Amino acid sequence: MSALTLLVVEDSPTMRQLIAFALRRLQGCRILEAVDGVDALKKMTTDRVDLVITDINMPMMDGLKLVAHIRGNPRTKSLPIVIVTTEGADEDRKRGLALGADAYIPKPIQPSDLLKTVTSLLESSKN
Amino acid sequence: MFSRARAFTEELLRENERLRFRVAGLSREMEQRGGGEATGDGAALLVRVRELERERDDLLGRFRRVEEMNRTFAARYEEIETQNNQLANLYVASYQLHATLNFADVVDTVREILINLVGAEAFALFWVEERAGYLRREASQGIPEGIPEEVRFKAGPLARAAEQGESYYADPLPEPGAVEPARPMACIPLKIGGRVIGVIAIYRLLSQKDRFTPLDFELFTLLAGHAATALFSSKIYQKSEQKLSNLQGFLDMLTAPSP
Repeated sequence: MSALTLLVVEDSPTMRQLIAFALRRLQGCRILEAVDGVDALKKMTTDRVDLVITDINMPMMDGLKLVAHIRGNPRTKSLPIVIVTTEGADEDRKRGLALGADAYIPKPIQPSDLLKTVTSLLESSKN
Repeated sequence: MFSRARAFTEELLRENERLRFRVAGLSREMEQRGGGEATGDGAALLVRVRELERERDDLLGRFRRVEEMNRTFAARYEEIETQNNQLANLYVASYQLHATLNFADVVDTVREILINLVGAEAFALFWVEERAGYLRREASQGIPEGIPEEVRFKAGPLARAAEQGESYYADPLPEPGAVEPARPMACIPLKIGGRVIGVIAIYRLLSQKDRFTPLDFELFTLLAGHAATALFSSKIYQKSEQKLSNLQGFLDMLTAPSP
């Protein structure tokens, strides 16, 4: 799993740092950080991204709009997306997955669960 | 290692089955020849079978020991993984709390820790106004409008946290319901030395969380000390900055050339 770029989209610096901290255990992966959807889309135009982990509630552009943008772009439509959010209700999960996210992890996150999800998504996208 | 050992044992069992079949065949053969003790090739084969059976028992014993070791290692791995997760959370929380000297930013960090790391949905951060004898709400989340910002508590967990520095955790946790300021599910006094400077009160957890975990208690301990220091230092820094700016203003006025 080398030379892969993971984009963490979170407005909370604490959460951003915690997610990036957990992902650094995946050897050879590069972690990019964005503070909201707009920042994420900007970073995706300049860097090749292999997986996106995004929060839902963010200023400027929220996570659901970001997912819609990514799925609407032919270049990024098959990019694996993980939603990490405080919204833990079933309807929220269904809404996120219906929009095209591949996985939905409610906060507070367990770094091991996040790693497992990311690893399996990267494996399946590789295949 | 586990799967290799399993495959090896299965192979041994198959070999054993094959040899048993062979022994049964030889016994039948001997009976047909007139019975009696096995001789020649038959006897040698029986000896070999017994040797192999001993070897198999020995390997099965070893396999069980390895299996037991694997279970111990797996449990230990899980324990270390949990500890790693806890340390990562504590490191990030502590790092963020001390990353700024701006009081509002520290308050935001406390808020983020409570939402994202603890999973609290409704909570308040109170500042102890010692001289006036009340608690002032400095930040909150999920608290309905209309609840006064300044609260005086004569009894209950909030008062004990503010006056005696006692933590409080409801056990069992109450069913999620309306927020009542006097009835939090957890109270964490923020202390510097023995002095309580504030209290964090948690009223409700996120719907996907039904109890506090060991990590939450570690985070509460961290908040009790580190959040207190960070909040207090940033408040003092803010005041000193303000004083410095006032003094500079006076000095500028005094030293300004007269028109």
